[in-house]
Formats: sequence, structure tokens, C-alpha cells
Amino acid sequence: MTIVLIRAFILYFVVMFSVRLMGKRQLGELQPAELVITMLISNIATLALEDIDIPLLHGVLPILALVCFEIIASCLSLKFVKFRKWISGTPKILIHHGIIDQNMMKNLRFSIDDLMTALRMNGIFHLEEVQFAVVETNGNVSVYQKPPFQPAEKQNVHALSPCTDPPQMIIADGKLRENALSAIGKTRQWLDEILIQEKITIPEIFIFTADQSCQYQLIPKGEIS
Amino acid sequence: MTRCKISIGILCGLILLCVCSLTLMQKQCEKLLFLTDEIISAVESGNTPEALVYFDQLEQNWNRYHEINGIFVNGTELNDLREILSGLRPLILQQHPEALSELQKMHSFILSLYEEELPELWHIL
Repeated sequence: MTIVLIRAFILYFVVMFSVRLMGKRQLGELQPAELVITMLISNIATLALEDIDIPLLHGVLPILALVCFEIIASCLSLKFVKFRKWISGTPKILIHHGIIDQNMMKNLRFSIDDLMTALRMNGIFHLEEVQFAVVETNGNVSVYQKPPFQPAEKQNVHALSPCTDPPQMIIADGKLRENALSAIGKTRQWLDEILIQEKITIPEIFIFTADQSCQYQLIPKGEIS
Repeated sequence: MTRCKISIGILCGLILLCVCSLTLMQKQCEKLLFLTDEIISAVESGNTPEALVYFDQLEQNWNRYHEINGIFVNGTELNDLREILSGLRPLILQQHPEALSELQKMHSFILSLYEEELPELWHIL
């Protein structure tokens, strides 16, 4: 039992290290190769955890090797287009100029129901709204609508506003985040002035957010907003 | 790019580990095989005291081997070998005819332990 616990502890760190080494890309959309690697890692880790007759090294070694191969392959695919195409494939156009490419659908084994589901997931319920649709290398469908069906943007109605960064969390649960303060270009003195004005101290604050235009929101501890 | 460099570093480390483990296993297996051969020849010639001296050395080497190679080799394989080893002393002492066959079995077990780790085509496939 103790051996299993210690092995679980070690494997946890090995798997966490491997996932972190693969990068944030791994946690989001998975490419085919990344999906295979993730599944393999979980299987290998399980084997080494369950069977204590298998040396831990027989579990750790393939996990690290697979992650290293994956990272080296992704580095190579950045440099060499042909290699990238071989590893990840290429995006396939399903709808071009509003016309469905039926041959491509057959090639991709993509049924009309699959297509309609993908369109609905993009917020489109009528086929005639689609100008262009692409099956990405990770299997997602990206859709570009015909101009009359595209949602109006601020620039279309001439309602432009200055570009500003979103507000930063300056104080969270009574703790000051100095880097957030410098990110909005403000000093500690500016913050102190506001706190005096609000008659509150940092440990009494639950949330304090502010942006570059000095707009701030303050929620004291214990207050339900 | 840093991740790529770390990966190449880890891969080199893993390859080095594999080479070192193979070298270590080869050295230790050679020692065990030598001692087993000596015991076999002593048993064949009916020299029990000499066989027991070599057997003590074999046990000492086995303990060292077991500690280190337990990291690289499957536990069940080592347990099989340990079982044979534990029953050998009384067989040698009694000059039992089975002692020889058990020793030869052990010889082939030790040999297979090392040979199965060699990166040869039939082992890989």
C-alpha cells in the first residue's frame, strides 16, 4: 500500500511536469498527435501505478520520451511546413462561396448532420447564411458568414471608443498585487489616496479592480455585491 | 525553443540512462554467470565445500544485483530467480541430482535477464 502511495506521488509529479512541458497548447485544443500522446501518457501512468512489479522507471521513461518526441516534433513542424502538414494535416474547405463540397464531405466522412451540428455550434441555423466553412486540423469547423448575415460591429454604426486594456485585479482577498498595479501604469501612492478617500485599508478589501483610465471598483470584505 | 532544448536534454539523459543500465546489468550478470559456472563445475566434480564457497559469493552478488537492477528489471523475473536461489543451498549440501539442473536453470534465467534488455530487433518487435 505504502509503495503504491509513494509511486502515485512520484508519477503525479512526472505527469504534471510532462503536461507543463508540453505547454498551454496541450490544455486547449488538441491536435491529433497531441491527443494520442495524452491518451498514451494516461495509460502508461496507470500501468506503472497499478502493477508494483513493473519498475517505476518503466513508466516514467516512456512518458518523458513521448513528451520529448512530441515537443521536438512540434518544434520541427514550426520550421518545416511539409512536416507540419504530415503531422497535423491541412484544413479542409467544406463550403466555398456558399456551395457545399460534397466530395470533400465524403472524403472526411462528414455527414450532413455533422455539418449542421457544427454550424449550429457556431450560432448558424440556416445553410444559406454560410459563405465559407473550414474543417480545422483539430476537427473544429470554422465558419465565415455571408456579409448580410454578419453581426453589426461598433465600427459599422460609427460608435468607436478608445482602445483600453481590461481592468486589473489590484487587491484580491486583502492582498495587494504590485504587478497588476504597475500593469495599469499606476503607483502605490495613487492607490493609497483612493484607500484614504474610501476610508478602508487593504486587509479589509475583498476585490479591488482598476483600469488605465482610473475607473475602479471596490468590494469590501463581508459585503454582498 | 527553450522547451525543445529541455526535451533534447531529457532525451539525451534517457538514452544515457539506458546505456548505463545495460552496462551495469552486463557487468553484474557476467559476475553472476561466472559464479554459477564455478558452482556447476564444483558440483559436477563432487566438491561440495568449494561449491558452497562460490554459492556464498553468488548470494552476496545477488543481493547487490537485486538492489540495483530492481530499478530496471521486472519484479516477477527477479522473484523467479530468487526462488531458485533460495532452494539451491540444501540441494548442494545433500549433493542432490536436482542441484545441477536447478543451477543450469538459474544460469539460463540470468542470461535471459540481460539478453531480454538488449535492443535487438526481435525484442523490440
